Amino acid sequence: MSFKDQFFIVRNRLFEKKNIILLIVLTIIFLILITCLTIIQFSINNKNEISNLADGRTYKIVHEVVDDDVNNTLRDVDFDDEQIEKIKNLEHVDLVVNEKYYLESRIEVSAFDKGSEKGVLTLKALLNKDDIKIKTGTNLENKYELVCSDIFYPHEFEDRIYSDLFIPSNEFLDKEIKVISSNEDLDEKEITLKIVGSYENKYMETANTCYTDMETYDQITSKYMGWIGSYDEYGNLIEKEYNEYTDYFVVIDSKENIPFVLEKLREMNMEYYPYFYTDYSFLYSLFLVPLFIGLVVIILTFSILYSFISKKNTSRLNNIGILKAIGYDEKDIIGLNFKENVILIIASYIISLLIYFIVLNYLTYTFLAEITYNNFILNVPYLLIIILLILFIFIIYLITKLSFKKIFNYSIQELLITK
Amino acid sequence: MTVIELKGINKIYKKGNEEVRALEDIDLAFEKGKFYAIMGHSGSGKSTLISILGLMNKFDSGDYLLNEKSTKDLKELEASKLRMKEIGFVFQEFYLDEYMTALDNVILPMLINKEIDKQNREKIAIDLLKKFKLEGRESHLPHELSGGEKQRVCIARALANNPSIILADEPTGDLDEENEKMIFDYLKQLSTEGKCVIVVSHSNEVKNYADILIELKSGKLVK
Repeated sequence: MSFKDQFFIVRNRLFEKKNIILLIVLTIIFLILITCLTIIQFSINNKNEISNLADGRTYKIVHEVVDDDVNNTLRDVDFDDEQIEKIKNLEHVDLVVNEKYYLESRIEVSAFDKGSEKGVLTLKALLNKDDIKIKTGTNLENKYELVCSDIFYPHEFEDRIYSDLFIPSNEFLDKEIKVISSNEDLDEKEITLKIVGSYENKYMETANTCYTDMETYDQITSKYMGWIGSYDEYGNLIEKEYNEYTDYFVVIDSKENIPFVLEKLREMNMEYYPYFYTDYSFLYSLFLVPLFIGLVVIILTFSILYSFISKKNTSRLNNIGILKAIGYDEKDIIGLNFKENVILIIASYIISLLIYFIVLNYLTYTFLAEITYNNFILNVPYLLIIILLILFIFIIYLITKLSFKKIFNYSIQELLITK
Repeated sequence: MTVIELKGINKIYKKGNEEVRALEDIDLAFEKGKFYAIMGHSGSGKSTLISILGLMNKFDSGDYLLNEKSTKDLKELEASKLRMKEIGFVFQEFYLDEYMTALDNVILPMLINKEIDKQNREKIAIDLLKKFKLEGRESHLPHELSGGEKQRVCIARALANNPSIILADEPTGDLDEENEKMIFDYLKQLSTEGKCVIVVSHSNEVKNYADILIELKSGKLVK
């Protein structure tokens, strides 16, 4: 029996009160499950992203010596080149770099001005080419090149994010932009940079981040970390005392070798602090809580759907008897009911996805941007959503088949006389 | 030409420890082109007999030959196929699909008949409705039809797959006298067109139409 013929029979029953209720219940269930999947996907992405980055392997080092003048207290001193070289030569150390290259710099780019929104980029030095995954264009090959986020939003995140301010990679690739350098040694302050590629980025907070090589980064940014001013009695600035970048960062090659390297740093009288702290327990809870809720909902759904479909079938015993009497076999009847339920599942799935996308859009562009600067993009777990639909179609097939087991024990006569 | 042959059919129903003999040693033969009336009081076994004839119920012993083939060990799938091809049912309570129009109700049995072209289904159904004077009623739902009209839709549906046997269980039980006559007229007409028409009825009116009268009493044939 073709789907068209099956639809010919079931189409009139689709708007039965029981089916409408089922549609609403399924839509709510799907919304809960898709939300759970989104959070699970988000926690997986975050965990993977953090594990992939060197973050957990990065330590800030400080050189401390005992200050005999001030009651034997510890005092920070600058690193000399020899010390840095020694640290670089330590086994399992991937990179030793001045803190300047670990921080980021805000630069204004008038080329990205749009209406009242100023064009602003966050510039970072690319310490290792493998730190980013190129999506379009190329990685950094020469000086004065930039690689920017594939989700490109070259503005500051203030009150909200405007979807029309995002720029697709094909529009910014090969674009040349002029920036004003903050480097105190340069006479010519205007520098032209070319965007040669885009890198894969899942986070909203880095949607305006571009990477350049360390040398270009040096040229664009100030030599100093900041300054402290001296003021006269009228509050006028008399003198500026500039602070240089003195600390260093050490990146260890793998997590297993962290204790080894830290031990060596201790032996060298170095103090160290983990640069990033990741609350893995929070990420696990982000994964486990929705997983638990999702599984409970699926189990509950199974029993709710079974009871719903069984009741629906029981109310149609007479109709099942009619179909059997005129020659429909059990397979035909199960097929008809299965198709009817699949149509309901797909309809409720589409409705729940529409609601989901509207809410997601609102959350991504408005709500989340307002409550925190640390914006992030909630990735749509497309694969999981498709798997969920397939799982539900399978569940509905099982339930339809099971619910008919009892019904087919009745004779046609018994079915026909049921009201 | 004999289409149905019953040989020593017995049917026993069990009610707790008690056994009720619904049919006892029934030997009957039914031919094409004849109108059979099965009569008897309530509990005489008429409905059991017609449900066995319609392959809707199983018998305990004996044999039932349909087109000279035994139906003793028929599987559910084979029984469904035979019901679809060989037997058309007319019920006292019509049993039309309440959600379908008169036309769709007649098309319904044809959807599982691969021998009927998809394009022809609607034409066949319209012709059948015309035959039973239901023009203009095609798009009506069952609740919009009178009792007599519903029964005519039911007969049209029974004929959709052009079966050789028409089984009617109290087809006029819920109808007035005028409609009763009309339905019997149609059923008689079908027998003259070559169908084997078997009607179970309480009504004495059926005697005026029947070629052969079969009387049952306590599950046995009254000679």
